[in-house]
Amino acid sequence: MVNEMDLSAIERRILPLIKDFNNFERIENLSKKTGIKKDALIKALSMLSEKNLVNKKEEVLEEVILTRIGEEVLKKGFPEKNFLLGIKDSISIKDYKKKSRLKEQEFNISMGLLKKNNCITIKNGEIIKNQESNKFLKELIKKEELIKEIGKKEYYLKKENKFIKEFLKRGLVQKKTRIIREYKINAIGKKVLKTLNENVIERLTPQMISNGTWRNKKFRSYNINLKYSYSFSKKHFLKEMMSLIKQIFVEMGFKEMKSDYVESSFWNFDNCFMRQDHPNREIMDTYFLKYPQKARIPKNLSKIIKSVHEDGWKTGSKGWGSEWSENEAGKLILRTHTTATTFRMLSKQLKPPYKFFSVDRIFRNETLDFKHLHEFHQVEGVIVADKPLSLANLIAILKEFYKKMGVKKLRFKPTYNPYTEPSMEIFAYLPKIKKWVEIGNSGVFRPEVLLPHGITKPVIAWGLGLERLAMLCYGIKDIRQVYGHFVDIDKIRNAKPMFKVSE
Amino acid sequence: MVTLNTSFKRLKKLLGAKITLEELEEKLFQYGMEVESIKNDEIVIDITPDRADMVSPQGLVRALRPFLGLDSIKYKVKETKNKFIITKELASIRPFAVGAIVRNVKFTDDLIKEIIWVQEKLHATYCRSRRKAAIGIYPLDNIKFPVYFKAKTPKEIKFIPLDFNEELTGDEILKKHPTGIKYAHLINKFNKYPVLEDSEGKILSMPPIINSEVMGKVTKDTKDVFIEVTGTNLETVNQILTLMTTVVAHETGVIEKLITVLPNKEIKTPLLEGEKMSIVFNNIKELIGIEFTSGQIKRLLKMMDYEVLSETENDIIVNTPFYRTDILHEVDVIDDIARAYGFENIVPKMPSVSTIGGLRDETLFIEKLRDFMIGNGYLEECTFALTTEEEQYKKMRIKNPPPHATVIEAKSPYYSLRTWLLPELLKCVEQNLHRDFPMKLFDIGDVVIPNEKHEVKAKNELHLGVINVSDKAGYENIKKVFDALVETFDFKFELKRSNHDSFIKGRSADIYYKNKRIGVIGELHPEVITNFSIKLPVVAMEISFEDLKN
Repeated sequence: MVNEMDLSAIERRILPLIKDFNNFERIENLSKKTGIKKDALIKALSMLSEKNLVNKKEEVLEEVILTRIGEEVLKKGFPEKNFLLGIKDSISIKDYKKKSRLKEQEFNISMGLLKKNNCITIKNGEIIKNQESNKFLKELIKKEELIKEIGKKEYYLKKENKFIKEFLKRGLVQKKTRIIREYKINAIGKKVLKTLNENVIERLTPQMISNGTWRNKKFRSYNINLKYSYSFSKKHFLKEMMSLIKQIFVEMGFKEMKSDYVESSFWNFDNCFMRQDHPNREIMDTYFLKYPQKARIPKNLSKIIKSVHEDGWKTGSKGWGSEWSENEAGKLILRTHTTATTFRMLSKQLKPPYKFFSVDRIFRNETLDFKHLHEFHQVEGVIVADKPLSLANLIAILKEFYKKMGVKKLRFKPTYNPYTEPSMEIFAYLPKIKKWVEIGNSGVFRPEVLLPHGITKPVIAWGLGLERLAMLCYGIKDIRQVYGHFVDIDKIRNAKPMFKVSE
Repeated sequence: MVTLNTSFKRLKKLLGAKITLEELEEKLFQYGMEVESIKNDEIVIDITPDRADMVSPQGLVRALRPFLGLDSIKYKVKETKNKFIITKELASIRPFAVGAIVRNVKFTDDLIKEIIWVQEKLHATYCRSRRKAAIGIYPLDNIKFPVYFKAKTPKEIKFIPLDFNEELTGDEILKKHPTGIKYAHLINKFNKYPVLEDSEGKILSMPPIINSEVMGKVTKDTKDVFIEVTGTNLETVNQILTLMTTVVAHETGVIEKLITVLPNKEIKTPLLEGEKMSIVFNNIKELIGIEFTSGQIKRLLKMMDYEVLSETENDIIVNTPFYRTDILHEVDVIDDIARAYGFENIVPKMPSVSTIGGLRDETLFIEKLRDFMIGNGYLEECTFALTTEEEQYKKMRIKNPPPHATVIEAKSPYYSLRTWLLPELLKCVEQNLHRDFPMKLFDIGDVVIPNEKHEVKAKNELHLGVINVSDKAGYENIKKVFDALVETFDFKFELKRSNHDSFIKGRSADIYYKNKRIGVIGELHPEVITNFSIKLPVVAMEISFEDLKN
């Protein structure tokens, strides 16, 4: 049985007020008799009925109420009745129109209606009253009585009624769904009422603590399972993923690097041995800047890169065999990959060995939709050693890196990148979706991109897209829900904490 | 991504060997291609953009045969005395053209479909929408050699273009013919247009636009064809001619090498010879990480269709497959050896490269700042860097926007790089009006500030943006956070009354560090709030940490 200590303040207040209601009583009456507002009363009574101290009866009924036209009929009666009553035996339409108090429209409708029901006959402009009209008149009076009834008090539609049907059709009345609530106190309620203790503490106040008045009272017990809406704060799940990945790199001995969003074509493309007529270098794929314009390009390196592109320079490559333009290289863009950051690092000619990584934003000229973002995040790692690094080394590093991310099964597919050879696409087996999914790209840097920076030994590097991974990990179908202003705030708030990236 | 669409049945026929679909998929994966989809018998294969030679089923099969241990494809080749003459006047218009003849071709429906496919794919990709190179194919019967590649004024050029039944001039073709309209920009800036003419003055085509209906229409009854490629780069036109000629000749054709007469030299085309290359054994070992025997290397090279010419103690001399356009360096050959061996068969070797890792100071600071904001009950956002001037300035009531970077063209409506974060945070609220309030959000991210001194004329700057949206939000709510921030990180900031148009006068302050304005704090102007469809008061602050970096 319910303990009286479980009752909330409002329940405690209401229960004594309804102690005499042993029979079902409508909520409206209860409200009147107890002086408590209806809404508050319903809330309290339903809480009490959940605790089974009060019995509840709810009936859903259809109430019929008069419309504006219906009110008019209530006031003046049916126009066709008034029309009929105005005629003795017969009258010319012209005269009757003048004499009648009906509006033009009412007059015409009434005449049509009566004609249809065979109450009148029209002949040579004369209205002739028929025998039938008496029966019709009697029915009209019955209808008016019903209208009065509806107008006077609550009228509920309990069974089919042909008059109501007609009224609805004529727009005299309308139906409204109403819930009729009735309550009464039950035996348990009465029992609990008897034990109701006046000395109950709802909220502990500072005064009670300081003056000790709580000592003689009891604490009301709360519903410990109630849920409350709560806007708590949380870190964004994509940024959390970035932190986690950065952590992995640091554990593996990598230092973080960074460069600006705005980049020159020189660092973004030319240093990556992407020929100047490469399709990615077109305005349809890459954001070219309108303002500001024209990057400064390091003079000495520019000469070397020109030669690498045109004839391979000293790298042993054939080069692209077409003229290289410094003007093209100076065009400013929003970087399309963080490989630009890597090459800025390589150009510093640090003493090997060194390992660098970045997790940062890149840009592609895309239409924003459920599959594409125009800016996203790339993860990139590069290792320069004092000895050559091989494909076998790269595979070992990747296995270690992805193991730390929580991916156990990997496959490697040869692919093409302008700046690496060999190049490998990385596929991961994701047990959650039982599929092999492309999860990154990697390779050994080409001599064409290393020698300009004085690096003679093969260097290994890899990269992956963060958003794709986030979608797989969080089961997000629409990439616009990964980050940006379209993201549902509740998604950020309810995202589960991540311990390993791909679990 | 370039794709090859064909049928499994057709591939098997061209391959001339038994193979299951699973085996094919596995072998393609090992070779570096992915089967994108299979529906009934139709198969779509992703081709990496370096392999122009693989966009036809013929090309795919040519590479695949030796890879599967079958014989390489051998073409029947003859030479003729017929000439294809390229005149000097094209030097500034479209300087290069090369041609070839293929006889005894059976133009089946399959082959005609494939030729159109290859032509379209090559045009769209490697030929850079016909700018760099364009292909033409003509029935040989009507042509009287030598064929000339000339430049003529648009009025002089008169012929019936493909799919038309009246003669048009050069200019009319660019204005009336659908293909003419599409590619007009490639030649309409010149006084003279390129034209292909035979020795009797009959026009074959107006490259790179359209063939003649009379002279340039290949049908099922055609047996012998003339193929030409014109363009702006000699190496490219040669490569494309080689690829096109071998697709046509693959099954029954006999290739005839023409004498292509360029202004400064004569060459026999198509080029069907590979290049000599030396591969140093030690470089193979260093790059793949496996010490192969020379026998193994020879076998792997053969799988990739290389011809081994000779061998020393240090290196091996190979002839590269003539159809390959992607071999620039020894590493490309070594990559092929690795593919033949199978990437999956390479035993991983963890390199011992001992280095000490670490995060950037800025990242460490960001992490502390995030913790601080979370501790103050603010939810972290991650907003876009590309945005609109409308949202960054107009909706924020800023009449004179500060210098900001913009892009020339964008497919999404975002043309401008953010210079501050608050508008982006307001956009987050605007998209989440149906969610619970109060809404307390922050973002820590880079904005982009133009800067002439910088090498790329613009620089990333780290900002913190904070907003508090609540029916009870007042200046004190954000000032408390500011005070706590200053106290926690020991920032030496100063506040001065602000005139910032985004904020209510008298309820906002500029944040100063060493006499430089680095941020703003206050209660947002009701107009700003309304501009983002928000109906509650908003207090906000934004701080740049650029000047605090040291």
